[in-house]
Amino acid sequence: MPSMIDVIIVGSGPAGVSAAFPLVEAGLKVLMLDVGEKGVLIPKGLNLSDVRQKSNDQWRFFLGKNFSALDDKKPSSPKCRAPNNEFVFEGFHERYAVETENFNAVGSLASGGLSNAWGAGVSCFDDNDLKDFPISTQDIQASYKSVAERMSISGEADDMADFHGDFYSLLPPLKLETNADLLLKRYKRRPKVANSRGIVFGRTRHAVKSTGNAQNGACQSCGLCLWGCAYGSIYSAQHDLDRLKRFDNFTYQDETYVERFVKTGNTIKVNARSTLDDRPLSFHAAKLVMAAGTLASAKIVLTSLGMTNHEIRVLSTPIVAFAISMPERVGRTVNSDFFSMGQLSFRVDDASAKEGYAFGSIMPAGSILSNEYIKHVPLSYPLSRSLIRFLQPSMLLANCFLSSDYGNHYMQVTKSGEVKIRGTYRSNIGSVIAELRSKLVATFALYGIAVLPGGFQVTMPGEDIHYAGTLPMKDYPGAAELYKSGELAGVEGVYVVDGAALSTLPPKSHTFTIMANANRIAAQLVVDHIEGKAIS
Amino acid sequence: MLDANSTVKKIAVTGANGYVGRHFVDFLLFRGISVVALVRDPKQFQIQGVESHLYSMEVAPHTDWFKEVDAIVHLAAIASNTCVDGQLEYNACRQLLDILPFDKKNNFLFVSSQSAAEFAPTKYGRTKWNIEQMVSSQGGVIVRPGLVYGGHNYGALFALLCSLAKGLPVLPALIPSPRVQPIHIDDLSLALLNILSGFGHRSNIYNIASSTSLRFSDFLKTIAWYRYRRLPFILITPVFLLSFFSRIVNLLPFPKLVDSERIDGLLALKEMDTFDSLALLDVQPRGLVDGLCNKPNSRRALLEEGLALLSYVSGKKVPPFLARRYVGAIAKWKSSRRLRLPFLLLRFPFLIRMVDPRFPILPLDQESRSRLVWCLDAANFVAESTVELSGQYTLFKASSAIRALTDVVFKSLKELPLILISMSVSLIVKCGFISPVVLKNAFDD
Repeated sequence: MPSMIDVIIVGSGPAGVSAAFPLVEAGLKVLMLDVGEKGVLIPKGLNLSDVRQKSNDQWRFFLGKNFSALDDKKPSSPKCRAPNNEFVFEGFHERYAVETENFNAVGSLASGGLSNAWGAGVSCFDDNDLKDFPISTQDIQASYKSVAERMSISGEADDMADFHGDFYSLLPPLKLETNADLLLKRYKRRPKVANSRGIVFGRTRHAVKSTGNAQNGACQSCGLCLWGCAYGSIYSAQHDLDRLKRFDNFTYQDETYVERFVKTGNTIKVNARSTLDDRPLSFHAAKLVMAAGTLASAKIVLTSLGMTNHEIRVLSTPIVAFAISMPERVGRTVNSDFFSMGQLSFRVDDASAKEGYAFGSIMPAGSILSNEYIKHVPLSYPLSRSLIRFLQPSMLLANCFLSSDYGNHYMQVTKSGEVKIRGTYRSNIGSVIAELRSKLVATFALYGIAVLPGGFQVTMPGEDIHYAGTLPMKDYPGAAELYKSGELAGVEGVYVVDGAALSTLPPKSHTFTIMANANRIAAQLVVDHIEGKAIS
Repeated sequence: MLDANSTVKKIAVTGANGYVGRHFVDFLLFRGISVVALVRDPKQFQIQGVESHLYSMEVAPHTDWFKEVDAIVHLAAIASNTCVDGQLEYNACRQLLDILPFDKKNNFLFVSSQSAAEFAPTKYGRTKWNIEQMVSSQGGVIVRPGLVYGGHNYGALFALLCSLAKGLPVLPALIPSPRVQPIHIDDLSLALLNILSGFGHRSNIYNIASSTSLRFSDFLKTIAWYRYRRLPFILITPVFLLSFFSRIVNLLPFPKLVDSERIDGLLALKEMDTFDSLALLDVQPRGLVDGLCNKPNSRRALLEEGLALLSYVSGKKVPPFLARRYVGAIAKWKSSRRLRLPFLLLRFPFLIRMVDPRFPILPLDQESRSRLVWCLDAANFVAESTVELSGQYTLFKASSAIRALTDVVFKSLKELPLILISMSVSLIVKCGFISPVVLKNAFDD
């Protein structure tokens, strides 16, 4: 262990590594504490259609050796049930003693955190999104750029460019899936049809390397994204962690679970436990940076402040899903070998939302096994199977994230150390969804695309796995809130840099902003550190 | 279960070479209890480490055989029904009982019969009743087992029933229908051992059988399917016809085909109340299917169910290894619990359409329905993740497009009337005229 540690970072997810870079590059001694569960990458050289048609071992891949994909306690998203991603989500509930009521809580103890299984969608918050933040776009733009350089983002300057942010360099976009390509072409031919109804389509910005060969980590369009990327093309904080480990002034200590911190004089003591033998561990540093994840950081902070049974808000964006079908592609062969997460995105006006819009993502339907669809078809099992087999080649899946304002979700830490989260929606969410639905159905119809019945169901709060705002940044923070600098009110030297710090949560993808904010806070910390040294 | 400091260490078993005896001896040996086997022909009884003696009802047993013996389990009986010599059996039992010292009489178990009764229609039943009276007056313990089944079927009624289930082209459904209470041989063995180990308060009579009875013909049908994969036709047979027939046959100089007294005995069986005995002895009889399949958690029945569900959802003949995978999934998430689909649905999987959770013709109750949904979803997942069946779920080849279309059209046309029927049925259920079906075999639990 390094003798004098300047900063302790808790967590190795996107926020943790983004905060680490400015600190480490400025020469500060950084110790990163992490539970650090590890997984195994899927082998290279496979693609989905080959696996499905030729591999006798495919069941291990899809179902898992111990049938973990059939666990009905896991979230409904196939990504969360992919056996290969088990290590990402495993043990979170037990470790943090999470109990939920009408809320889907997910977290990660893995090295790299939830970024091991994320959708890789990248978007910047604009002035409108940041209007309730104590910071403005000027404060964070440099950080966006610096993070973007590190993670290679692919995309195109199209109609969604303003929405996603247009001030960082882009790699060429990924190959479009057949149906997505058809949809985008139709939109480009007659954009006014959608625009006049308050809808804009465009390509998604991906934290995915699109150029080069397999050796240097370019996307090979294997269609297996949901089961983890074999090539490391999809950004994961693990890549950054590997880079950080090369610095002499950076130490990564895994198998360590942080329980609380105590401020003693000018130093902060971190109480942790070894996950191997439950032995208590303690660490000391001048500054502490919390990046354990929105829910985990909130638990550690509330526990450390002694704020038990104190309710704080959890933000999450309600999500609805639906499927669309390109009639001319019905009964054709399935094309599954593409980047299989959100390929297109859309922005749709939502007058009742604080941000004024909802955000959607459209992904290929061929990369998800048919049984996931059959579950939802309200016809007999054999007919559903035949129908899906016939329709799937024509289908695209879409989801739509709504403003977090439609939910009132709260968490608290009980005296005995359990985390309780309860979720409810505001009563108007049904009518908001109905309105969105009619708008989207009409627009797609005008492009000759059918929206399949059965979609637009209200899902359980938290299904989006976009959590934020548990310890929000405020101009005038109260207890368990943060200053603009990310510093925890009342506890000098403790900073929160993950999703917990976001003041509000707009519908668009928020990971990029979390990373940029972590970078911003850490960069400021470096400035303060140097100034502090100069004074002393 | 017997533990190391239990008082029973050595047990003498009469009739140890019979159907129950042989199993019971194995059962005891497996639990580290010594056995003295009293058999008619010691040459036929060769089990290593087991002391055996020639025992015949006509000759008084030798007291030397019973050194260090803690208990006697009396299973020997004269098997043939017609030539029951009541007095001989009575005396033989008395002689055995006298061997145990006065304070150990309650370590004498007389295994009697469900048909034992003072005015039983068969001599067999009356004899058993007489012996029971004597045993209980001397402080011995009486055990009345139901219809014993399971294990290897040497001899005894179970063997006869197995051969009927295996061989008969049609199975008789007797009217009026006799009802039987099955008990698996291992459950009976456990019960016998628990009595001797002093479970609960001692009673002097124990009824050991499943607490619910089932029709005799259902019992035969279950054996036919689970042991021999047969689904014979059921022929409704009035009993008077059968006894008439058997009496005629009995006049002929052939070996007896049907024993009319046995049928009378079967018909006269009174339902036993076994609840208290089972609770006292802490024995929970296994379901009939579990018992017949002879495998832990009735793996075979689960495989059976897996095959049916897989071929229903995938619409194709399913390779058997897939059923094993399905069973693995059920073992992992549903503690190997079966749905208990009825026979016909297992035999003809397309009939599962009747209970399909979407537009069922026979609507299931909430619990059965949600379990079925889980299993069907799992079956789809298991089937789809194979080279053999993934083509049933996804169009990999352009050439199969026309076939896929005809498949959808054909299935939709077939579904239409079913959906209409289903909607009317669900209306009737809503009005409360009929109640939803619960997936549970009466003869399975």
